[in-house]
Amino acid sequence: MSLNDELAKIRAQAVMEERIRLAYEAIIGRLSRSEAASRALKVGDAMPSFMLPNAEGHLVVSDDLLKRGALVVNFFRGNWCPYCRRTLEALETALPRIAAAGGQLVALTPDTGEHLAATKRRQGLTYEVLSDVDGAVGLQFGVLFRTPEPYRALLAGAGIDLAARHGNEGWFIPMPATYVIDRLGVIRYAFVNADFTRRAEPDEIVRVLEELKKAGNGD
Amino acid sequence: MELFQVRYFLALAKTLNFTRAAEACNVSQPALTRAIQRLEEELGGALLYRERNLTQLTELGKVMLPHLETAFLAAEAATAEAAAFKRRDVATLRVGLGVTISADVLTPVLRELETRISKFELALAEGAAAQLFDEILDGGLDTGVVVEPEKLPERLNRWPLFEDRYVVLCPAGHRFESLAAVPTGALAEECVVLPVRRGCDFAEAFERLCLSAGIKPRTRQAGSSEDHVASMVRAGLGVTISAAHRPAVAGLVARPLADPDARRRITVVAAAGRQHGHGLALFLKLMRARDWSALASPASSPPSTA
Repeated sequence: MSLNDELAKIRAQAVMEERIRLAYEAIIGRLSRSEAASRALKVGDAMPSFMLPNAEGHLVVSDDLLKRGALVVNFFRGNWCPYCRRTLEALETALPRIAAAGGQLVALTPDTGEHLAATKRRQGLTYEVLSDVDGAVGLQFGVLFRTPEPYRALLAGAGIDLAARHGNEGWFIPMPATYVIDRLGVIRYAFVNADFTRRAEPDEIVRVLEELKKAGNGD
Repeated sequence: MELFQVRYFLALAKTLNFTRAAEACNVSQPALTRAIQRLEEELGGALLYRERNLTQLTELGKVMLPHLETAFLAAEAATAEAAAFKRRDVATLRVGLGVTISADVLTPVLRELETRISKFELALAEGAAAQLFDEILDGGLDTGVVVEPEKLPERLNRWPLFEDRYVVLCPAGHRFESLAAVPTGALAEECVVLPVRRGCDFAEAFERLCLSAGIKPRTRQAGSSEDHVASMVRAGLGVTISAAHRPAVAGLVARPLADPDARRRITVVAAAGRQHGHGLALFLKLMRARDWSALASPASSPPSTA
């Protein structure tokens, strides 16, 4: 079963509850009307360089990573999101194939504090989970948006306080987005979707990395 | 959202004039107007009232202004950090530390900056929170790590790091050693050695807890030196108050105070609305992204995250 088949199952179950369905539709409606996904960085654009803290308290520099090979950058909303959790795990499963294709993987979330280490521990991740503090990198990629009110209320009702998790009151989260960047820093694959229940397929990411490797641009 | 949309909005919020904002951003007015409309669609409402001679922020515009400014400054700082890192620029950092907070709170982050930045210039000061706040606002310090007071100057941003419990330090073998936590009332029969030091919150917390427990223990004043206080406690001249996150003191035993109010919050602060130098920007990111749970005293019940 593909990742998106699995996510579709979670979605089908979740939207049976009306308030979840309405909050879900509020996000998709808002982002679709403003064509937000189509305005994010795309293939051919240069990746903005970043320096971000990882779950172990070290700074990770994108330029250092690119020296070693192609880079997969996965934006996720936080481990409070079931679609993110499943996607992060699927990426961990694909990690040996990503590495074999010459790629490295980092996952960026606006969460801060203990949530990074908790995400790695609970989802069993061995790749870098970075804190995109105040959504700086998400904004540069054009994937950041403000969660609409019905969704904020839904999260608040579930005890999920994004203001506390992020250390700011903006309630900005990224659209789920996955980028593959070649070692020159150019985006070679971009998946950005207003619908947070749909994600890039790990198989697709591996395929892109293998093509880059074959063309001599990945490593 | 796109970075340029946010830049245009911030220019508009400053000038309240489409023509001047377009000039300031070096774009045509129709381009600026279109960008703002898109941002409004995404944020779900008008950000500005557009009347013939009057442009004003709407309620939504006023609410969004500080949040968009935070995200914008962070994105701009990220670009500057990456460039400064590549150029191997000097990064300076001047940190103030509250007098009852262990420097161990800072050292892992400072060590990381020392490792990653080729020219890292650091100055560490200590002082009372109020004094540190003044210095931060005056620009003499970049940031501070303090015990969060009830009221913080408005022009400071704060990010809570961890909750710290007040503890009683007693000599080994003291009757408190067998307790999991010390009820405030049990201090009534003790002599309490109190450090006399500007900016020290231990005596203040002790008085507050005694007041609410309705007790008045005998106290002894000690000097400002932690070593003097520890020596007096070791010598059996009394017990003292300290905080859970601080490193163990040889020969003394720490037991938390049982009162749920016997806690304080350790917070990092910096001036709001200023573009941070890259030393400060990286310091704040590392402090905020750090997992502080090992230092935090367990709360009574952790909040549920579904």
